[in-house]
Amino acid sequence: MNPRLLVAISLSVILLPLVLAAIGARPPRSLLDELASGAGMLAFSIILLEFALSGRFRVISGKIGMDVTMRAHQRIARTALVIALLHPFLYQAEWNPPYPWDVIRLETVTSDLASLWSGMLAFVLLPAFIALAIMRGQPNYTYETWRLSHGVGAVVIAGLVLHHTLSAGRYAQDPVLAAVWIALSALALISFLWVYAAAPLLQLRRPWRVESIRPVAERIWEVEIAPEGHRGLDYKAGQFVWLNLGNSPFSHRENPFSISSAPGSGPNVQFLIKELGDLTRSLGSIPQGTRAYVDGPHGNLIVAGHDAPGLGLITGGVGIAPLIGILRQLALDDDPRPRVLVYADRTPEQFVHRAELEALALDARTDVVFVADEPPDGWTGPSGRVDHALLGNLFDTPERRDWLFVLCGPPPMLTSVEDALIDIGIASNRILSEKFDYD
Amino acid sequence: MIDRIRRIHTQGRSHLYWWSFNLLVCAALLAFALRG
Repeated sequence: MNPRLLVAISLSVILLPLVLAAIGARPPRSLLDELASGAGMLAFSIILLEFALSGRFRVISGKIGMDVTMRAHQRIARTALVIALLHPFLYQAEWNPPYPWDVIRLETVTSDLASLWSGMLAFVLLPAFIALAIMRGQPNYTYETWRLSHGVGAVVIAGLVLHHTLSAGRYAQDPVLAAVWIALSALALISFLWVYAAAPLLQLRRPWRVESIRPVAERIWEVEIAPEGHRGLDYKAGQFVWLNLGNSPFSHRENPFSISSAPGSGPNVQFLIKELGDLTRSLGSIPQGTRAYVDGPHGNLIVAGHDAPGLGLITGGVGIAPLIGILRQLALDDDPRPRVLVYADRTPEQFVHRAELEALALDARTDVVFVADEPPDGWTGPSGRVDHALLGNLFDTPERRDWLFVLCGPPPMLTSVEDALIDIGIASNRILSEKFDYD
Repeated sequence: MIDRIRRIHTQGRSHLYWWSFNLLVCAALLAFALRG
């Protein structure tokens, strides 16, 4: 979906309830009372929009990219939290049961517990829920637990807020606004059911088989899967999938991994996986033939379709996975454009597929620059960090400033590389990056 | 200046967009509360 259209639809969803309340039949009360009600409505509509920004819908994240989608999801949640927490404290009107003659609830804010309990519970749960999301990287907090608890928790909180809105909300007594709240909540529920039930069902019909798992560098494994009874995955070089190895698709035991194979190389799909979390530590014990499931492809590190005269591919660590996929596909396509891969890691032993990359560099169109952060004796290549000086030497020429730059790696490295590229004079819309820190 | 805007666009784009969003939310809230 076009990013502008996406932003327009998102803002419309957030503002629609407020606009309907403003043009409805109920007259405004004091400034603080109206701020309180408005804050409650905005917080609820943002919470409902969050379901669509979960990163699992390619129609949304396809164009703007997964990084932007997830950052938007994480940041607007904080906005919703702040205004949700302010919501009950701004009321100035009397907290009383509604007066029988005050059918439009002009004079009071209901103190009826039957209407308030759900809001109070959500008020407690929402900060805890967001705190758990922020702490998701902590040890002993497995990815699967995180995913399931986040999905179910979001539905519970949205359900509580819907109940509170329909029973205690002054403006939600208007049948049109009530219908909008119910419709938006239903859409949020459908998106949850899609991700947690329908998508796994579809995955069940398109199983994969683990063809091989082998170590290719220090703590890095190459996993290859083959489609079973279907044509495989329609992906572009540089994309990633959520990969589930050996578990039911309903278990949500899946992790995001970049595809390192080229789509033109056949139906089998390869990944480079670094031992990091709970699943990746046990990779070596997964037998050949294990059933696998795939959710994807996702991600926008896609060079196909870009008309740039050349490509700068910059990566650190296991971020090489999507970039090696891109290089392989460029070679298969016999793409005439020059490309430079800058590949940084701590020591030379950690470089993956070094021989293949050196072979690719024999082609006059391809340059590969290995950068060792902690070089051993005798290392003749660049060492230290991928910094402004190194990138300047490689890319600070008039013709290379129009290249497309594709970045994948650890967030601190990408931040400094983006900074250096901008300093060199690369336009920001010529930089594609994925920080690879998804949920 | 252009460099500064570019830097904001890439480096701090999520902050920039987020604060624009927050401003919009505040403006909408104020407009709603002040409509009377």
